[in-house]
Amino acid sequence: MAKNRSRSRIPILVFLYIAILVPIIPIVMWSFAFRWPYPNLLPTWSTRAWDYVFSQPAILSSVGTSIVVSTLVTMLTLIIGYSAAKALGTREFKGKTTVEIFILLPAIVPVISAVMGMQGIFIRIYLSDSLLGVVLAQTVFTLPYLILGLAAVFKNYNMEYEQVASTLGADRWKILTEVTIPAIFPGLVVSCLFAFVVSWSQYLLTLMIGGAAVNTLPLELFALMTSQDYPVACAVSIIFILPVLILLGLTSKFLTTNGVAKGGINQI
Amino acid sequence: MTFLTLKGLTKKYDDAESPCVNGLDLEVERGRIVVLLGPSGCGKTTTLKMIAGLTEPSSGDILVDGNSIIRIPTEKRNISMIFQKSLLFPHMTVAENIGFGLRMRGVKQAIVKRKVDEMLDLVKLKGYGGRKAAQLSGGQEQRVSLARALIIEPDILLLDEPLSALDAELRVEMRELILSIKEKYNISIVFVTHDQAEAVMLADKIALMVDGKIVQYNEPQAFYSRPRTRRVAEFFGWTNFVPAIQKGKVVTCSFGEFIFEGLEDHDGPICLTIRPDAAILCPQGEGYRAVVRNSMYMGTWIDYEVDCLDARLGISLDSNYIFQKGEELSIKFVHTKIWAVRCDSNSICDNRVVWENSIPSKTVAVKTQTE
Repeated sequence: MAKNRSRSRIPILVFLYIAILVPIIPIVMWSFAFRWPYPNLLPTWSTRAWDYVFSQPAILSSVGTSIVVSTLVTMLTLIIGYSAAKALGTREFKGKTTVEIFILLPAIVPVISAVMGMQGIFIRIYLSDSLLGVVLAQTVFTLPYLILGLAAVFKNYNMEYEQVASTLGADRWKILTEVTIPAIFPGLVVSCLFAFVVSWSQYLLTLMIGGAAVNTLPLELFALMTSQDYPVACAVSIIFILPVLILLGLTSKFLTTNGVAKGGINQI
Repeated sequence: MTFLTLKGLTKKYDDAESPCVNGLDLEVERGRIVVLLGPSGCGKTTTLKMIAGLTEPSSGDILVDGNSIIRIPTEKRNISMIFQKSLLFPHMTVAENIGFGLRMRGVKQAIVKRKVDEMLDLVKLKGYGGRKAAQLSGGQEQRVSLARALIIEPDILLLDEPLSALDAELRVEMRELILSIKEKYNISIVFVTHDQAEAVMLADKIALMVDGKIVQYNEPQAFYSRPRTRRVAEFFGWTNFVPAIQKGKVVTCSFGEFIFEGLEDHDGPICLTIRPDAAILCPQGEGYRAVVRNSMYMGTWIDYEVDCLDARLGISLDSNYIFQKGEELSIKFVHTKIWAVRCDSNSICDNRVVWENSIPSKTVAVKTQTE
């Protein structure tokens, strides 16, 4: 049985790998190209682009900045969004739909229309051109993804588990760490991943709020794209997608709805 | 000695018109099982959650051993609660589930392990410690949740319909387990159920709840022999009602005058309740004259429908005594099995109405068969 099933999966897996990996192949080839003029199937090879990337402190430091910003954004999003997600997922109250739409707004409204006003306010309260400002601004736009993702996880969660735990002597903190988080862990990881990826690819917000002070990887990437140096732009693109691919790989067992369901408390 | 006391306990939800629990007074002694019995929505689960601290009362007080616990948070009350579902934490093994309460109290690993083994023994699940909750049957799950609740040696154990999700056989097993635990630990147990038979089997005392109030709080036998209202009498098994008039202590009906010890003085209409086993039928002899209208053979007993004076009564007799339809008999009553109940405000104590309202389904079946 199991063998049959895994055999029938092979075409699907092959398709998935092709769909995900094939678009990346030309990028990898470009990053090792010296020149790749039109009719040629293969470029003339060179490591010039990679040598250049690793010799540029600005590019390397932007990777670090991006990791710091996106990690901070994800943590802040989780701290702010957790309670909202739990309330939306486990309770019924008047005006719930309205609240949900308001929470969704940052994901619907184009960033550009919001960032103009935000920039003015951030300058006034001395948050522009700072890492903190960028983190705060990005958090506004990552919140809807985390809240709505996590709320869906909490819909399958039985609050009575927490009541049992408290009658057995668990205080709020112990309930959170010993009961709630283990129960929703896969969904929690996936929701955080969404927040991280949204933050990781933010360009406009970082540019407007961070000014020149906060130089993240997308800013470097956009600058290189317009510079017409394809091999270097492609090398940076690979650096750009690599952390996301690694995170996806690490969390892949939670990623399907099946994985989220298996971890969540909803078998009973 | 009273251990748990509820004083005027009231809960009114903001969006509800009337309180869900309304001025509840209850006293539970140490080492006793009190069953809160009532239809769904009568507030019995809410009462339990207030005792556990999971729901905040609107007013009233809860005392344990003379001290108010109303300001103590749930986790410090040392009151365990078992729910309808077993609610075992799915990310833990059986042993981890049972040891949860002790771990929360910072008990050393070695002691937790020893106590968990003791508990597994108690609930007859030796060797199941390493399994996950999903690998257990419904009855096993509920036994684990019982072990998990008991390991912290609670002052009070609350059970919210823990048997309702189980099969008949498992219920018997679980019921016996609960009774043995009461003996062994000498703890006070409050058990919530809507099942009258379950209540009678388990309870030292039953508190019958209707619409957030306790209608009667007595030993189980009293609900059969001395129900307080007609609805209580009906809830505890089938019974005949005969209209009567009470004046002071004396209750008068077509069967004569009765004086019931312990019945409240009252002037006005009242109902006699005559249990089906309260009458003896003989072919001849003293007593009232009765005519058999219908009979239904039930195996070990026979249900008769007889006309006696102006009433029609349902009588159950040992199946040794077989009477024919239309036979004239004499009927005698066992007076200890007759009682008088006040009619609830909305029901009329009229003979015809009483009969039609309380006509048992089995009698209806007889009628359709014979016609």
